[in-house]
Amino acid sequence: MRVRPAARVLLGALAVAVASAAAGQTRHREADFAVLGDATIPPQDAPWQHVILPNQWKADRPGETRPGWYRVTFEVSEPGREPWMVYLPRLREGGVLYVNGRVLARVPEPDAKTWVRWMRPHAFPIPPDDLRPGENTLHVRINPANRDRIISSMHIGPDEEVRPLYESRFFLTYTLAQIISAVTLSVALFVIAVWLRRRMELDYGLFGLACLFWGIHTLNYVIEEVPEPWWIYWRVVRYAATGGFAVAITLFYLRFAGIRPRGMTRAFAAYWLSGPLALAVGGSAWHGFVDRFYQGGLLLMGLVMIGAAVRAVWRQRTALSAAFLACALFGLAGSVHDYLLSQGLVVDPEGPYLLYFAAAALLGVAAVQLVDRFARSLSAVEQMNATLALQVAQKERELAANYEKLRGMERERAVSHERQRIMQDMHDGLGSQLLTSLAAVERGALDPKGVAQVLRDAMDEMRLAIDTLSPGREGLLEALGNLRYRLEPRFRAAGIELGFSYRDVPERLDISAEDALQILRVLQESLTNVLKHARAKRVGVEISLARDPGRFVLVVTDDGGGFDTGVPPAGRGLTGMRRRAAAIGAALAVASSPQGTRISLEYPLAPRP
Amino acid sequence: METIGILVVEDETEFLRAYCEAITREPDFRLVGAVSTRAAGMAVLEQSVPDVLVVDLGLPDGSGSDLIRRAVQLRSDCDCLVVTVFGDDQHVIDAIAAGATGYILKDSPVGELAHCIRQMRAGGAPISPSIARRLLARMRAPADQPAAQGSPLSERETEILQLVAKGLSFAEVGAALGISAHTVVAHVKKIYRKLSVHSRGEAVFEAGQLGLLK
Repeated sequence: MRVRPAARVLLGALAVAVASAAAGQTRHREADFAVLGDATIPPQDAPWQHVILPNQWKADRPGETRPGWYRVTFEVSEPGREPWMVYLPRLREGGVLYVNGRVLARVPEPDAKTWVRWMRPHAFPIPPDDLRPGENTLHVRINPANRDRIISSMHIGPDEEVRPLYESRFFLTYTLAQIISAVTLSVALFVIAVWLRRRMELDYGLFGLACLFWGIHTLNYVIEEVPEPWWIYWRVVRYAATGGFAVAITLFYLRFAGIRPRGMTRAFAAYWLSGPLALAVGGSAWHGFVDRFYQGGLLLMGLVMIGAAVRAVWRQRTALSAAFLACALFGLAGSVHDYLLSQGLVVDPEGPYLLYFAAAALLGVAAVQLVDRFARSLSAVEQMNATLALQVAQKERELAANYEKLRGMERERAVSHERQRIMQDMHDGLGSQLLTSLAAVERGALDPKGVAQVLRDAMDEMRLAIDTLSPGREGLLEALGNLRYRLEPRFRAAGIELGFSYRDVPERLDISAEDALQILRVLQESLTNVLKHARAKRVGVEISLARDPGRFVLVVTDDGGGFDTGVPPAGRGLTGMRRRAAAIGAALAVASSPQGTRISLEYPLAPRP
Repeated sequence: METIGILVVEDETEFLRAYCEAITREPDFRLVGAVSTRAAGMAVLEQSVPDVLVVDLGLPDGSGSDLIRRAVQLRSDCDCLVVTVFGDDQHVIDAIAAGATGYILKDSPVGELAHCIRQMRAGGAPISPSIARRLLARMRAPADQPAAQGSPLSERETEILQLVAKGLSFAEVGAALGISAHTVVAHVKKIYRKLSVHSRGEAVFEAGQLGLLK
């Protein structure tokens, strides 16, 4: 079954509590103690003293060079019936265990080469052969060179009763430390990486550092053996980590509470460095001092944190700040407890270190706070983006409206230009034609037939304008076809054959409506001249394109009587045709003889780009 | 001698008189009626449909198109000649869609009306380049329809329209295609009929789309 670590901690703690209550009969809290020379077990009649476990014989015997011996007796009714086990919750600096005079186990002890400090509990199965029915004896030899010379109570009993106690304790004091160390170091790497990318987010930096320091601090519970020359540096690192954690997490929560005193940050940093530096410079001579006073000073940070937490609760009144306050209180209590424990003072030396859990809770609340802030800032960014998108859309609409307005103005300008052109055209074409005709009629110079003629001319003029100016028309060629189609009945009525021929003319011609209208007028004028005056049998219109330079060429030939080109008869409109040709930059040539007349118009085409 | 019965519907009296004179002048033409409103025209049509209907589109009490539609409905071989001031494309195309097979400008020479009527009775129909162009555009197969439902025009008809649109006369079109001018105008008339049918089809299609037909 998989159980989550937190649940396992609780289960473990519960198991310890239950087991300690239930396993009263396996636990030995009393022992005999003797300090005696060397490697052999002290005899039965040695000066044994009665002591209470856990026991420390460091304080009252400074300078002792002989090992200390502890003796515990226990009853076994049937040695072979079930496996037995010895379990010591704490044996920090090792020792040698004997059962009935035979070595049961040697837990490595500090020596000149290696520094040892066991955080894990120890347990050893007792070989059935070493047990005897009735009374048995367990001796534990503690090396006088040990720093603490401390021994916990002992459990001696059947395997199935003792092993669960041992395993719970192992998990709590060793496996859990490994887990916490791994998790906090991983989180630290991640958060610090984030912070390096976003330096202004100081909270991430502080949280990352707190995790990093706590991870390193926790390694202290995992790394139990260090080569002696490195030990002092390991201690430097360990104090730096402990102090660093306290400073970083305190600063984090000060910021959380809205307190950002620069001076305090510096003071904290200075204090943080003082202990490890003293130890690094002064060496192991300073160890005791640093261990006691530097670590003790760190407890003050807990007070600062509680102050910040109270302020945060007062100001914010949130679940998070309440959780922070609870953690801070727990943290301080845990720190005090651990401090006393590590100093060998007052509290039960068998109890587990509490700062573990307090630190985990502090880091957890900090993590929740950071995640909360991260999520909030993401939401804020999203909201900002949405607002921005709205603004952009708004601007786009405004731009589109502006563009539409500009286009409307453009259209209006084009329309007004076109209107002006048509007005001009009316003025020059139909208008002037009607005015001249009106003048002639008023003068009495026209008979009804003449009036009909001028009106017909006016109609023709209007039709040409419609042909070229109507939207959707395809320009000159279509208008030419329409002109021809319109004039055809008149030529038929007059008995004149009208022939059109096209040479090299493409499907489309790019000639502006204005110019096309002038060309058509020239053609219409030529053809009506033939109708009115030429007495022709045949009239031909040839439309072609000439190259180099590109020209549109229109030739009208008839076989009528011709006229003197020098003195054109009135009404032939040659002057008007010349004027129109000149207006569009075209060349008009008129040749007339008694055999007929030839009028040609050459209009230069704009070179194609 | 077989005479051609003609009904004239024209609201402007000057033109009405001129058309009546032009018709009565021809021995083989017979004027069956000369009226100036849509209602009167309808009344005559309900009595009997003439061989030829000469009609102005803009009548005081409605459109001449209604008369054309009714005449063709009652008698499919009735030739309808539209009289128009400008020969502008939209009005002419609408009249053709209603069933007209010819149109004539109001200011055409006097003899032109008779010429036109004879041409139509002989199975032909006049067409200008602009009208040819419009017809081509209108009868082009829509891009979103399958080829089978494409242009209702035959290839020959399309060719004729293309040449007319370029400004060629019927004789020139005939020469270019190796057929007589008479055949060309016969094709044009067929094209007009197709547009009329085509337009009715479109109307039915649109009515169906609008849910007017069940």
